[in-house]
Amino acid sequence: MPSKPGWRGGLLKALYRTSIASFTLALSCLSAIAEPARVMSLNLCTDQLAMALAAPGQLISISFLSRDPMLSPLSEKATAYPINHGRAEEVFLERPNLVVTGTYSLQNTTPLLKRLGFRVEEFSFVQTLDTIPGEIRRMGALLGREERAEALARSFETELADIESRRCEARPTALAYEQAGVALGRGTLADSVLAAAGFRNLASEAGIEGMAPFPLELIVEQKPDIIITRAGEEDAPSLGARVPHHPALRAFSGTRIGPFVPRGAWSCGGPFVIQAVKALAALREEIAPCGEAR
Amino acid sequence: MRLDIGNLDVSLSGRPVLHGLSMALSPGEVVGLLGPNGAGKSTLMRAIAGLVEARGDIRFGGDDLAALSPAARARILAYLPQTRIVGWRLAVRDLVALGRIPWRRFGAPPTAEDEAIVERALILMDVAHLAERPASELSGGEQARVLAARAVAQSTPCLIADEPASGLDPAHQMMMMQALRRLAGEGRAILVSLHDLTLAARWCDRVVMLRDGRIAAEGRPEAVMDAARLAEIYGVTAHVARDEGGLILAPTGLTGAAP
Amino acid sequence: MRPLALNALLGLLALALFLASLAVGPAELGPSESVRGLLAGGSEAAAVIMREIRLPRAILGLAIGFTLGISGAVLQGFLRNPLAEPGIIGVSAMAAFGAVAAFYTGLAGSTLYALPAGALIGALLAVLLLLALAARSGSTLTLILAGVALSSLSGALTSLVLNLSPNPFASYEIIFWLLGSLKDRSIEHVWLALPLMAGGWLLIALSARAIDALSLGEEAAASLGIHMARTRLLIVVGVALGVGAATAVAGTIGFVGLVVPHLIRPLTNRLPSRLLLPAGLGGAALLLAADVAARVVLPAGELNVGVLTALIGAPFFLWLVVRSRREVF
Repeated sequence: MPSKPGWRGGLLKALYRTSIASFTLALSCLSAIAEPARVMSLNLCTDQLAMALAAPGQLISISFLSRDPMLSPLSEKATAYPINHGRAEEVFLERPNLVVTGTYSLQNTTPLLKRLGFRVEEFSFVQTLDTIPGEIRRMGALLGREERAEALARSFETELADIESRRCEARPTALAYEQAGVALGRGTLADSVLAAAGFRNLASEAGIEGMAPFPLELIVEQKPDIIITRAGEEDAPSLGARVPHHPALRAFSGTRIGPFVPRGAWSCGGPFVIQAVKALAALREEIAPCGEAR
Repeated sequence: MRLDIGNLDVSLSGRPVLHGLSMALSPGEVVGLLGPNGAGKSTLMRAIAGLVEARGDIRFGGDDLAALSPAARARILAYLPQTRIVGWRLAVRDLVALGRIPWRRFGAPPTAEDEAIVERALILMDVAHLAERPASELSGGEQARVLAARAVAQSTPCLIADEPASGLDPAHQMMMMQALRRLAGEGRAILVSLHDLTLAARWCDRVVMLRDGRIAAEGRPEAVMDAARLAEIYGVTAHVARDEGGLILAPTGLTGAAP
Repeated sequence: MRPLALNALLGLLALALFLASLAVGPAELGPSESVRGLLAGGSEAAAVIMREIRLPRAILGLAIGFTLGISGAVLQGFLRNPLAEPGIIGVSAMAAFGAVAAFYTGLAGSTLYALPAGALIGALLAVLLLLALAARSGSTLTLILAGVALSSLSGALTSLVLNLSPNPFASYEIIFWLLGSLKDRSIEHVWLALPLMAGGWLLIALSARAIDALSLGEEAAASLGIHMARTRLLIVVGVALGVGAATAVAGTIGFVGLVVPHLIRPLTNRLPSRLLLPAGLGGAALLLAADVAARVVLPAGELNVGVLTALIGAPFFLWLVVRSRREVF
């Protein structure tokens, strides 16, 4: 079970699928230029940032995972781009000026590409709401699209500040399930989203750093107001998806269980996370209205 | 009641082994089954015990054995296989008591009668002093007697024993035959296959000599077991003598002609 | 030891461990709170924890342990083979593959019933295949090697199906299927598996006389009036029902059926039928103990109980293999 802070199960799977690196490449390459004309993104999360910011024609390929509707909130938009599988050979044939990817995703490919002279920029998985505007601006600077990035980052900050300003004393408790009884705790993007939307995260309060199992018995004891399951789990059966449906959780009323966050909305630190914040803020307003307190 | 075998045909994997074989086994007699290896002795015994598919008639009194349930057949006929298998480290008494299975109701504990029958079988086969020992740790000869005691404890009117005396020392060979005679004396019908010709001649009421799946000779040992017959059936020359206890047959050499 | 005393002793041991299983869990309930939660009154949380979480888990530990113990005992008796066991000869692994194939491919929707259905088919195929092999050669080695091949193959197929699942988290569940667990089972799982397992116990019990007679080999057993074809059917279906249902709800839990009959056999008169009930009770005690240990050793994450049974069982198996060359069972 991964327990690094901010490691996202979905991305771990993505990493697993794409880390089949090829070592057969042995040639030198181009160096980067100031405003890269050809950019490749090898990672689901950098895909989202790059798609939001790149000029037409600038982004020449994105990872195949972005087309997977179970993982990617932008799967439809992703069909407009060619896809790659994160292999060094693919990068070499495309000869991009810039490669953007995640820090953990392609442990073998990234050093290889760097050795071959490609310019590779890595983005950390460990994100919270606070770091996202910075990530947007960083991607903007890399792509030479500073203005667009600034606008996007500003609007993100404004929207977030607006939602946060509407929080009040009523702070219902929440538990966010990653999968199979594993909850998202302190330091995760989900934790910061819950806080911004006005929830208390029981996993963080129980001292969970990153991701860790949260025993069913403790849920029964602590009775969270909401339990957030992963959206899209119902598409393909798994035992983990059944954990929130355990009769012990059905036995007491008052807890809402469901995929309250839009599909893939908080699996990457990108502009799309605001959708998760909005959805949860609306839910919080519904179950614990601030009323005349405001 | 008599065991009648009529017109028995047996094929193993498509190869005919017994050809229209007929014989009878009467209460009170010990019948020796003789013949060279591959003559069909074991196959005949297994066919009578219902362990191989056979065409023909096997009747006990009026009953067709093939039509009976396995359990009912096991109350008429006990079979002692040639291969001696002693699974686990069962105590001799527990192993012999397995012979009572066809008589016991499922799940019921053994009755006093069961225990008495087991005790008698242990004494008959001279293994009573080993009763508490694990059968798997006994010598080959002792195991043979323990397994024979198991078949005896089945207390059936017919007992079919496939080479019960092989591997036994001379004294215990005699003892085994004596025990079979005593069982016959109680009115049981005994069919026993043997390789020791003298043993067969002196202890059996009758011998049936098989060759190539057919009966080559049948009758009282004195009447059928002579040098010419042994040469014909086994392909051996033999020294034949006689004392007050019966025939003494000692093979002395090969006739040269393949049997 | 007298059979009654032995069974009473093992029954008490299993009962004590059943209660221990009820007492252990991350929610720190006191003894009186637990009892009140289980029986009546008490807080809502205590009642839910005891009745919906701990009770089903303890019942499954008991029933699955019993199933594995009695299945090991009957297979050893039937095959006259001291190394036979549902895990080692690949029945559990095939059951797990059957469950995985039926559930994750979504063939039967995401209904829980897909699990036992698939597991029973898998277990049945495995037992039939192994009995066909055992009938042909009868040697210990053939059976064990076939079991190794079957286990590896079905383990690989299980991993394959889980990796191919469109659900990105399905592959994390490989560990559950290969090294089972009783974590977070519910009363639904009890209803799903218990009737099937009980049916398996009954069929196995009906073969008691036959496996005794089989101590003398198949021919002698048949001559004792044992209906061999019916015995084979009883044991195949009995083991497939029991192990299939157990694996469907708890994954592959190995070695219980191997270790327990061996530990208990010397306390009996070694007749295979006399071993059935004690082996079941002993299996229940062992699995309950392992499941309690799994929660105590690693309270935060909780160990898979199959890891513990393998840690106990695999060295034991090795020791048996060495000892079995002397054939002293």
